[in-house]
Amino acid sequence: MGTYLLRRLGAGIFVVLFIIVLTFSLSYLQTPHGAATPAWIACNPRDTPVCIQHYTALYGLNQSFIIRLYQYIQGLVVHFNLGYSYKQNQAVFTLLKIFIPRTLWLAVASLVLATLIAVPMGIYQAWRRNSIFDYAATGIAFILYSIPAFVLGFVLLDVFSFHIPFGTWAHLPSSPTAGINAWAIFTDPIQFVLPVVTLTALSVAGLSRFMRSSVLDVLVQDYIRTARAKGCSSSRVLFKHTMRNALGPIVTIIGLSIPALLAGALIVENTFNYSGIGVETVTAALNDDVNILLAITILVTIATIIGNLMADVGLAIINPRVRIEGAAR
Amino acid sequence: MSPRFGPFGRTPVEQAGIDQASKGFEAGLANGAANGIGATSGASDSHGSAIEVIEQEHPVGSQLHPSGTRFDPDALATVGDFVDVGSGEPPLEHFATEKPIPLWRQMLTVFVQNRLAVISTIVLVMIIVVCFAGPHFYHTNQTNFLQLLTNYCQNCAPGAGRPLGTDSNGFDVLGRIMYGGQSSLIVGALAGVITIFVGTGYGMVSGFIGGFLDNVLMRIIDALLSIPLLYLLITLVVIFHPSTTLIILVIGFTGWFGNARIIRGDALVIRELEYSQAASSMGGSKLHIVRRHVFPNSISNIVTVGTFSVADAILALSFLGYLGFGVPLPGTDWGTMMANGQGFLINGWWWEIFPVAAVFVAVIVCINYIGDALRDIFEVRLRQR
Repeated sequence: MGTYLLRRLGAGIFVVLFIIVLTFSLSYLQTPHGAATPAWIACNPRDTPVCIQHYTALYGLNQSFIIRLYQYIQGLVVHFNLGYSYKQNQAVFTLLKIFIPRTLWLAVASLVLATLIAVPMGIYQAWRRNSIFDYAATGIAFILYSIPAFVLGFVLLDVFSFHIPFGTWAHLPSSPTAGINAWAIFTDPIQFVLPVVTLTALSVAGLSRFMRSSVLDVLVQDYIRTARAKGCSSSRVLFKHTMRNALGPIVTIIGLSIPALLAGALIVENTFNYSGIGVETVTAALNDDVNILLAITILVTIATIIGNLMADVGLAIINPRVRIEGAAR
Repeated sequence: MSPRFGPFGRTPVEQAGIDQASKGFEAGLANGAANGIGATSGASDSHGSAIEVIEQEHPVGSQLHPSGTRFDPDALATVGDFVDVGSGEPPLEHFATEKPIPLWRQMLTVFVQNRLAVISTIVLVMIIVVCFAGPHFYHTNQTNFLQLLTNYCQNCAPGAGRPLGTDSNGFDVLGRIMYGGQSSLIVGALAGVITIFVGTGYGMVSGFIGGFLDNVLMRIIDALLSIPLLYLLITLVVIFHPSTTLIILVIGFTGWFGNARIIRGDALVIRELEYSQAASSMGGSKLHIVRRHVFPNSISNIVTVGTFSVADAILALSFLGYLGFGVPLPGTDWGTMMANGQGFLINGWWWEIFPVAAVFVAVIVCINYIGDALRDIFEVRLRQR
């Protein structure tokens, strides 16, 4: 078990390094559109040659690619320095630190809610296969599965904010600068309702389908027939034999769904103007602030890898075969 | 539905595996029932498996058609069905004398049996025709801002001469849906094609050569798959400031990671199968084996995955457009249109957002249904022989 986790951790660190090198190399390719180099962006609009020269020297932009890459990695690994926003003249981490928890609340709340809804739903669908509930849930899941996050957002906004305004319900979070609080989920939960509901609905669609398939796979196994033949009660077959085996794949799927969840968060945040990493990404992108984008991409990748690791640990706890195989390898 | 862009990723490997498992279960049940009723027990099972093995070796080549003329599209055949106990004629004679049903007709039959897929195809073709042919019949100004100023009508409600009203710039919304649809569909199709080609090439090389190279290539895919792609896409768009052509390339070259992994899995399995080894032992070159055996036998996954890739590319473009990085003015795409319309939702100007959203969702749903049906037509078990 220990060896297994260590191996996974090593692979994760390798992936993070790979991503850092890849994204940094890409940013190095930034094409000088109207000379939109980092120094030009920092000087804009007074982009005199003197200013550009000053900033090029100040940020070491005239150094070779290898040296800059080395400095970037060193800063990131040793000092946890995510880089510097030339546009906003601040460290990227200072800019982002208030938004990180907000996006985290959104993503975690949606994932937990989605799991709590989708798992029982999928199990019930498989258990009562081809019932009316199964067909209805399948139909709804397929619709939710096919519509992009922002379209669902529009519909919810239209219905619950504009047509049926429940008092404060209608008050969406105001402008991103107006006193953004990282702990708002505890002090002002109302602004979380629609974003979380949207993201949850979209995750439930996929998860419940997988849960249904997973349970169906288990239900045809010989040991289920044996359990039934022995005279186990229905509930015992369901909870002892089926669920323990069906939950394994779902834990992996939840881990794998994290990149999609974070991408969904990006869209949902922009739909509801919920200031977090997603809104910040778009703001930075509109400002050509590549360093913020690099930092966000790396952070989001790290979050994904941590999520996958946690899913692996969860799977090892549920499924002894993974533990033993992992240790043997 | 969309691997890395939607809130939940489609992972076709798992899905395909799960689907096949459950289908296998259902077929098994059906088969068992047929055996019981038709009293063809024993024989049908052994025949079924034997034929299936042969089929697997030549899924795209010639087919065996023991009862080729009995062609009933309404009845879904199970494997046991073709052992025709009552007809009196030995099946071998059928095989020798009667012309087999062409492969494409067998596939078409399976496809047509899926009513949802047929409806989806009709709807999708209609949307494509309207988008590309519509502007020739329904003339609207979609590019000229000056002309918009002369007949000033911004955010006009639907009425005579403008069935879906106008948007905030004064462009006719119905014409705009066609115009934006052209770029959305073209970008989606071309980017989808790129993902298929790159993914197939990478997967084939990785799976067929195997060994150390395979290990390295797959670890790279693992790493790439753990980047949430939308963030990478936005970073790339900012770095390269793309034109429409570059948007196609950017979406295409960031969308193939999952495809490569699926195709690689296929290649890995097929290269170990007996017929590949037989070809190898008879002196077939590696290129020959890839071309004549590995590629034709993984075509089902390539086509299915490719269909979903087109849907994903259309979605990716819509996400970029929605966030403000889509096709620039005076061009447009469906995502950009929806982003523009969102601000006016509070005014109750529904025509700026819901018509285009409906068309967009319809396209995605249709492509997904068609993809599901395409997966079925390569399923030998479902074919009527």
